[in-house]
Amino acid sequence: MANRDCLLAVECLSVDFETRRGSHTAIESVCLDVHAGETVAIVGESGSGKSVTSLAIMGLIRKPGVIRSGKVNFNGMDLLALSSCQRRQYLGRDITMIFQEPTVSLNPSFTVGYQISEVLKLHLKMKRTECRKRALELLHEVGISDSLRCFKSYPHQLSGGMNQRVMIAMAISCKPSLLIADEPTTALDVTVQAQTLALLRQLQKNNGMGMIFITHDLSLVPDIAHRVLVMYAGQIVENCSIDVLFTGPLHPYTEALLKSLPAHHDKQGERLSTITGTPPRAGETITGCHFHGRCSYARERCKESAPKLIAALPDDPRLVRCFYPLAANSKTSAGRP
Amino acid sequence: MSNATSVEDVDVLTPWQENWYKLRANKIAIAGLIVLMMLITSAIFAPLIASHAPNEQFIDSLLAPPFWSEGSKAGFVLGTDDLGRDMLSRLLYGARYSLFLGFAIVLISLVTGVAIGALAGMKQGITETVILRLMDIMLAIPAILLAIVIVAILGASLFNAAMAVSIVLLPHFVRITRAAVISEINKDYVLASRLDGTRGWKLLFRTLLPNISAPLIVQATLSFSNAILDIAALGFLGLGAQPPTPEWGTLLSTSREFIETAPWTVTLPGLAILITVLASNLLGDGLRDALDPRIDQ
Amino acid sequence: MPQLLLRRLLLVIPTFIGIVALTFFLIRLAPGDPILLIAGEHGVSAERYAELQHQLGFDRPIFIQFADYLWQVLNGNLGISVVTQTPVLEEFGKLFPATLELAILAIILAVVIAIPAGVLAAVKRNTLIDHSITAISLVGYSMPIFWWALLLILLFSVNLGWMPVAGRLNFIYDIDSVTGFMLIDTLIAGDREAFIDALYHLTLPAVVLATIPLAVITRMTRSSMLEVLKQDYIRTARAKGMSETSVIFKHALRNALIPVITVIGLQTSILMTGAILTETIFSWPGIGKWLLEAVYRRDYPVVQGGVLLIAGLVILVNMAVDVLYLVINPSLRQQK
Repeated sequence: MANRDCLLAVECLSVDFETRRGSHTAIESVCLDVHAGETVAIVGESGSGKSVTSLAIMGLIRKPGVIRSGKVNFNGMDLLALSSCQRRQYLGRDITMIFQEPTVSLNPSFTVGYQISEVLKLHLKMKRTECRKRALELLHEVGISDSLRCFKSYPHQLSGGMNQRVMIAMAISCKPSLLIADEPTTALDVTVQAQTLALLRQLQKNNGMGMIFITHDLSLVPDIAHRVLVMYAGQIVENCSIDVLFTGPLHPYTEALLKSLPAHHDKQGERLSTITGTPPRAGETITGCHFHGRCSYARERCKESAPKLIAALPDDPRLVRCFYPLAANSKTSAGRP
Repeated sequence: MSNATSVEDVDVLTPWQENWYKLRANKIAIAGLIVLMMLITSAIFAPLIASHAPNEQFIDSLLAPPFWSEGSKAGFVLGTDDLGRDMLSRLLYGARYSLFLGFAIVLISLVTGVAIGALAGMKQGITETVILRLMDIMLAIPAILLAIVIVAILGASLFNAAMAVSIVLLPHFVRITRAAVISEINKDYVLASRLDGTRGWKLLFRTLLPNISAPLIVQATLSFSNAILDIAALGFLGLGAQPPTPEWGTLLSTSREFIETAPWTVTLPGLAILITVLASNLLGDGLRDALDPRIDQ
Repeated sequence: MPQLLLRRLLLVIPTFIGIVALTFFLIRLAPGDPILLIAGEHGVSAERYAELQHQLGFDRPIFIQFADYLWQVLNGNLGISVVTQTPVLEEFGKLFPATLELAILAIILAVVIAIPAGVLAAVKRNTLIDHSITAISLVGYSMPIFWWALLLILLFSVNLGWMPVAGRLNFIYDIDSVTGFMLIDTLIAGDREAFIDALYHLTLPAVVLATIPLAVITRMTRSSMLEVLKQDYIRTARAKGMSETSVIFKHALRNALIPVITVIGLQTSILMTGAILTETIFSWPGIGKWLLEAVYRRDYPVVQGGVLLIAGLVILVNMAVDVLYLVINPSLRQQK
């Protein structure tokens, strides 16, 4: 599936964490493509490896984490094969990232203006006055009206929503071709969350950049993404277009996730369904399909051998990691209201 | 937060057991503990271990070097000093002074400090302000200087030096106790105790103290090493133990003039101080890691 | 921020009065009659005794005496040395530069080594480098410095003969005291050899005095740095494409230094303690040695005035550190 002409092609990326008790796998054989102008959502519970995937793409995995194998092709060039010094040229310029907790993701000792200018100076070699002018423009672009005051503020003087806008301004400062947003709205209030999403969607469309949107909240996905990857216990279990996700999930886990969403729960008076059991703990070795313990469709084969991420049907672009994918018919679908 | 072990569930660790397991995992801290235990044992059994009395003079063996040097004499493993006294015996007896005084000083400081700190924390208002100001003042005067002044006034003796060091170490215990009492006193378990009718000192000892013991224990361990250092420093300055008492600091000051001819009379007592202080600091660091709930696992 | 500063400043006043009170009453507890002490060994007649008592104000109520003493202190009159008959403040002023020169050099030495060492240990966490730095600083932290001084003398002065044992300058040089700082005075005099000699004299005492602060600052820098490196904004800095050097020395160190600066400030008290021991061992003509000798000679006005001045100095430095803390910590600066 490695597609050389797409913006980002991640091939079989695996990351291990080495602890004193031995090494355990955080993500395993993660493959994903992002085309220019496309938003790909990665959905999964906490601990499923979403953030590790995004940090691995950026080359920011730190000890005890180790990238065991894989390639991260960005514009046809393997980022992981580059030296960290070479890779740094792209970070913050062509590939940028925003994080979950905007307030603690900004350095408390510097003004936000300084922190934006720093990127401009580093990558675009701008002079001080230019930096200032451009930073003010950027703040304006992300919808901060009093950009001058914001420029001079320290992160602790701004609200979480404002800080996330600042982070976004910093991320788009060098017109990146790929933006990775790691749970950018999780720590924000619901109204601010909607505004931030709208801003991201608009910036993505205007700048034509590719975006990876990481979230644990499947309900946010239809508003922003074109395609969705579902992760479970370090593996991608389903990769499909947003149009078909809600009508016919292929993987039992995706189906369970959809069923637990209030918005897609149509029968009045019935309890929301939950997924029984807990995801495997870090370091736990699982044989067979990672989801078999919690899967209501699990059969003997699921416990013994591990399924691969393959096309569900010969002509279907959807990929699923399941021996018995749910048929794309209405019988098992959660149904869109 | 409670210290009680539940009767039905024997597998549940009491907080102290849990802390002990955490401390035991810290090999360096345990090394400190073992060294300290060895020092204490040899101090207690000094009369049995030492080959000579600490002040016994051997006129024919003045300044005999230790066993690894040329010209060493049998029977004097670590050599002799200028008056022909056995260094090893003097060091062993000296351990009694340093260690015993260390414990005594910390105990006095701890008890008084907790009482004053608890008073400040529980009474609040003007009492608290006066106590805190006084502690600020004491902290503004460098420790050794304050001890020197106190000794200068009380007169130079080991007992007065110990009193001075206890006073110097006091403010830390007062501050820790007060801060801990204030942070604990509004918690629900204290309120529950108060509703039960527990008041005053009883409230402090039964309810509060077990819950603020962790920082106090850490401070006590670190104060122990400070006490030993300060007592030795006062001894060295001639303001603590007086010769011929074999206190380590005093040993150092009397042998200073032989630094060129008999360096072992200078190096050995200092090494003894360093080892003791290092061991208790290692233990103190380990205890802090084990007892600090913020650094869990 | 100005309000906060003012409040901090006002807080110094009661502490200072408290210190004056403490030294005043502490000295009164001393055994021996101060008048007999002043009169000397020959003793005095009863009339002369009463006269002296009146002259020195000892016949007045103790609180009046205290108020009088406080007034004198505020006017810069700290009494007269019983031994040398010179005003305490004058003696202090003469000897203080020697201590200051030593202390400044020691703290520079400590900071210059400790901060890079602490940063290195944190960045190379759990490696041999980290373990070595941690072990060395723990030994330094536990060091009885009077013994350490003797060891250094034994090695560098007695055995190797590289360093002088005592004093600030070889007596063959005759340098006019302009600033009181030997390094600067020798430079002003343009005497290169004397400057080098002064530097040689300073080295061992400064190393000894720097030992404890060095260990404390290293430990603090390491733990503060470890804490900061875990923060999210460090990840952001890396994601921006900043070099590891910029990440560590700009984004991390800037924040890690905030608690370290407090610790450096608190070293003043430790430095003064160290100065007493160091100056005594190296016969360094500073206030530490002066105070200790005053204690030996029971020169109470000197002890009283000296303690007061040192405590005042410690309070001033601590206040300066508080102010500095506000300046470098933007999140505190905003609070009213």
